[in-house]
Amino acid sequence: MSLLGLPAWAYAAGLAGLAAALLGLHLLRIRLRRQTVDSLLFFRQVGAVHKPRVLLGRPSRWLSFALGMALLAAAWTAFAGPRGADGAPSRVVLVDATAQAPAGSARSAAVLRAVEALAADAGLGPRGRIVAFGPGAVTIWSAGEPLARGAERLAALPDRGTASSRIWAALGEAARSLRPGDEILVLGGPPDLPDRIDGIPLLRAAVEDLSAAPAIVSVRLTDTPEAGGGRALRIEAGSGGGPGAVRVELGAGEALAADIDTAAGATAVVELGPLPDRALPALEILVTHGGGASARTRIDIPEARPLRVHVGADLPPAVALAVEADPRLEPAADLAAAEVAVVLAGSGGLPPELPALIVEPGQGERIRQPRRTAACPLPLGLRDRVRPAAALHAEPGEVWVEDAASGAALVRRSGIRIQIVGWLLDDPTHRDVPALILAAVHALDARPPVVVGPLAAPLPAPVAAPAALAARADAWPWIPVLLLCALLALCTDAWLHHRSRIA
Amino acid sequence: LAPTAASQELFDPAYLRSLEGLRILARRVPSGGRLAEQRSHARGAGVEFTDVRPYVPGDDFRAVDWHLYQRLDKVFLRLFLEDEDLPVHMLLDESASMGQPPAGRSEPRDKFRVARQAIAALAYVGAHHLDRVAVHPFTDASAAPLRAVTGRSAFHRLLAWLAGRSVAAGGRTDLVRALRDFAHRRLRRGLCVVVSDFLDPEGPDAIVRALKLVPHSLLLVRIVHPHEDAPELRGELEVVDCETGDAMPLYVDDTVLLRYREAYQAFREALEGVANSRRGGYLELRTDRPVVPQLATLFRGGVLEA
Repeated sequence: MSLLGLPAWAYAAGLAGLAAALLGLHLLRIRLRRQTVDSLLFFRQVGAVHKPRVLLGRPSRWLSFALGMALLAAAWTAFAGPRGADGAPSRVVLVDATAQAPAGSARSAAVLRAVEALAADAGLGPRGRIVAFGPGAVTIWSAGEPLARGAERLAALPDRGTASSRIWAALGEAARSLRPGDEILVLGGPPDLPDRIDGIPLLRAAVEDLSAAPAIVSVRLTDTPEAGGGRALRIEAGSGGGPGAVRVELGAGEALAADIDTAAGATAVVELGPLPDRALPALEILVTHGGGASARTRIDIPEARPLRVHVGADLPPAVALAVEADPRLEPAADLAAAEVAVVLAGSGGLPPELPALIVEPGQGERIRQPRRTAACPLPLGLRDRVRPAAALHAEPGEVWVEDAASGAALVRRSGIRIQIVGWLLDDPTHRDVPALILAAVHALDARPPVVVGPLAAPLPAPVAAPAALAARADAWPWIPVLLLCALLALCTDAWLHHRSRIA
Repeated sequence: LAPTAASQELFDPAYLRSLEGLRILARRVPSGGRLAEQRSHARGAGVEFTDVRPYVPGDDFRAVDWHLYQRLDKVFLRLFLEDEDLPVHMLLDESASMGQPPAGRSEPRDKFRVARQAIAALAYVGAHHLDRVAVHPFTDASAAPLRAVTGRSAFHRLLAWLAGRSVAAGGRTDLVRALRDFAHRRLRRGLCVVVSDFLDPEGPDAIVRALKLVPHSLLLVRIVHPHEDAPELRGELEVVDCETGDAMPLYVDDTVLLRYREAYQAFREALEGVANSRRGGYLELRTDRPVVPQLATLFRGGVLEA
């Protein structure tokens, strides 16, 4: 039996047909019985005030009709949708319409095939919808419409060069429109979606053509201290299988590019930079595949907020000057408002969770020649000097600068703290000193990297289409019960009617 | 009697022999009849002495009372009551309702058969005593009557005639018109026997008025089905008149049946009243019972006084 998931018009038409049939049967059953008699002589004397009230006047007959109709309607409703036309489980299908998905008719055809298979297999229910996410969350199909209309709308959606993915907004909106027992099915989207959204199960399904296409998974804006403190783009992308290229259009004819070669459905991270210092409100990112397919997106670059740095008052003025000179830093007089602190060792009031550059004063061994290590983000050229200075305690951490002779640590990072021997700051005119301070401060920047989107992924390995909605399947055992009740009621009614006629 | 094969099925000899002890006795026999067994008030050639009168020339010498002449020396004539026949006019209903089985039952119970048996029985009683018996069939159309028969020898002709009669298909009961036509005939007064179910659509009042027009003694024999006064009907029906085909929707419940019985009883009383007022009688012959015992109730001491 495949009556599940009937659209509203089919349910109503079926119910009307059953009602008409039952009404016809009812009227046929209560028609007047012909009885031939010798004469109407005496019947005429009493018949004038005892006309039969067959059609409208016998409440008991219509009560039995109403009973039969109610039971029949219940059985039909059970067939058409166990929870009734409005209460049947529904699915909202979210379709990836972001730039990494195939565009235009190719996307439409692939999605249409997937949705058709889904609708034929399990149905979308009375509140079923197809929502395309990408440039926005757009409902392209609602229950009751032919699927081809949804495909047409999907093909006509603007693609490439739109804003970031709106999948989370689409998921939230879909979850709000559904009821318990409904489901959300995502075709495409990021790989790290939760299992449920506001209590609504979230299922994944594959669209085969999408996984083999070039895709842009994520774009992150990062700093590049090695390149002089500029910013770079860390792009996670997939070529769709085989060699491809990632190209970032910076405007004004500038561009950054890198090759990429991933398997179908796999991604790789490409870092392009540094970005020019001028303001870049937006970037065009294009991933091309050797076969000619491509994915393109437009990234709005948010304006970077300066890092608030508190500089201790007992430190040399060169430190504060260096902070003030960096446009990406903002001096913070209050330690509580700072995101990074530069303080002298032993200063009180430093919160343990606040990243800090700690200057270690004191005398000690004679340092012959500072030398940067591989962990140091700056190509330092600190002057060779022989100074009595205290080396840093041998604590676990990342040594940035060490003594070339003794190997004693001069600058060392340990978690959110960087220690630096104080005498390195004695020569503020050295060009590497402010750079070292600023590199340390930026390295302590614990703010999350700016993700400028989009967040999407080539589809994971194809998964099986979701099974029929569980709620609908649970209601099946009631159907025979309802049918049996309806049959018994009608038989009882017919028997009672027969008795009344022969009485 | 030599009954034919057709009549023997309806009127077997045993059935007729059981009627031999019955007699129709007219209270008043109209003059002008033929010599028979009904005592009339006319002086004539009877056997019962009633008076004497002086002889006048031209009288029949055979009637002279010679014993009185010897004693009184005067000539007187003996006068006798003349025995004449009684005209018995029978009206036989041949309408379709006479062949209709009872309402609500499928088994045939033929009113017409009972009616013919009643006609035959009463005609036998009359013919056995030399009365003149005529049968006038009626529906809504005129039909040829059976001319008067008298005497036992002619009775077989009546039986054969009755055996050949049948219910007229589609024939409607027009008792009122039949009675009016019969009343307007110039017939010697006698006994009028109406054998019918009296279900004329004209209604009880018209029937009673028509009966009162008949200038004869009236014996009304009403053929009824069992439980005709309480038909076995129930529920929502479309009752159809078997004669006219008229249909009437009706919901039959206890109230309807009660009113039906009341109307039926009123009609019965009206018929009985008019029959009694016309020195006749009223009898309901049920189709589910033997005819002769029911007819015998009309004959008190074996005599039906009409």
